[in-house]
Amino acid sequence: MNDPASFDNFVLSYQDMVYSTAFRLLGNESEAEDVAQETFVRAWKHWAELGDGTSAGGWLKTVARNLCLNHLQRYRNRWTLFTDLRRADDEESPEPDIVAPDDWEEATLTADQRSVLNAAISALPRDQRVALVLYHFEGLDYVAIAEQLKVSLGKVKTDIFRARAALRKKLQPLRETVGV
Amino acid sequence: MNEHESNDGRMARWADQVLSQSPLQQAPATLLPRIRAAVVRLQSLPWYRRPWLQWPLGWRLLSVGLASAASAAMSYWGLPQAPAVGSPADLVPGYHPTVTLASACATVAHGLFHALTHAGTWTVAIVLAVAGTLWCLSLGLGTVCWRLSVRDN
Repeated sequence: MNDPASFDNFVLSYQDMVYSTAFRLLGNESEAEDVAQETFVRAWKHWAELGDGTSAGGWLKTVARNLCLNHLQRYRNRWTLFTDLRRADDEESPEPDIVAPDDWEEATLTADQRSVLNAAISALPRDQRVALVLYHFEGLDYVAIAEQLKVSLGKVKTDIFRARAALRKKLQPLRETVGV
Repeated sequence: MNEHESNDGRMARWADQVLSQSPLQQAPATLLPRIRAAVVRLQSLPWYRRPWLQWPLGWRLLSVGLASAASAAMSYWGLPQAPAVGSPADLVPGYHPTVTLASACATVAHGLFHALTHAGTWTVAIVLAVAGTLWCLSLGLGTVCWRLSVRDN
């Protein structure tokens, strides 16, 4: 690395995107900051390839996502017994009866409401939040998510459905004001 | 069922529309200084404490050459041999193999003679027959297991 200033600019350009990816997946500020730091340290090690900036965004997002999933996997391994016991119940229990709104096309959130939305995502149970973020923010399909998280396809679908339903419930006050 | 799928699809589109408005989280102000410090720490490491792929090219080539030479030398001359251990006679004073073998045979013969005279010929014959049968059974069972494992492989 010959030019620290250009690396600083690189970090400043992408830090919000990397931090947001980590925070959405981990739901924890401190862990998200650790993952963001590790992502940029890896970028520094690969600076020769990333310096031109053409594919840096995608590279950083992928590295941050993989680091988060590794982190979550390590955490989950400590509680495998309990999560396995709970998973069986989750897959068998019926899905909640939440109906999609008809008037969502025109919904536009204000800045305050967007903050409420972020808080609502963070407050989701971990399995639901991770599956929802991978599907809606990272653009993975159900099968890819099941493979990444090493869980069944049914569990992924159930988690995402429940996450959406929980978001609907939490955003109910917003719906009354802007039709979400 | 169709109604349920339709509702699921509408929920997905609703979530897409709402979540697309989710703003990026602002990274904390401490992140950049932390990254700078981590990079400086990495830069201050001497080359030999970094991952091998980050060593200077010359040192990488030299290390590969040295490792290859060491491997070739060991396969040519063989691994160093451990010093030979002396014979049992050196370790145990008064040990002589022939005398020891004769003594063991005499002990077994003495034991058999006592068994025959005290327990009776038939008893000894039955005990020997049972022991022989068990020995044959263990040999047979071992053979069967070995053949099964070989066939499975």
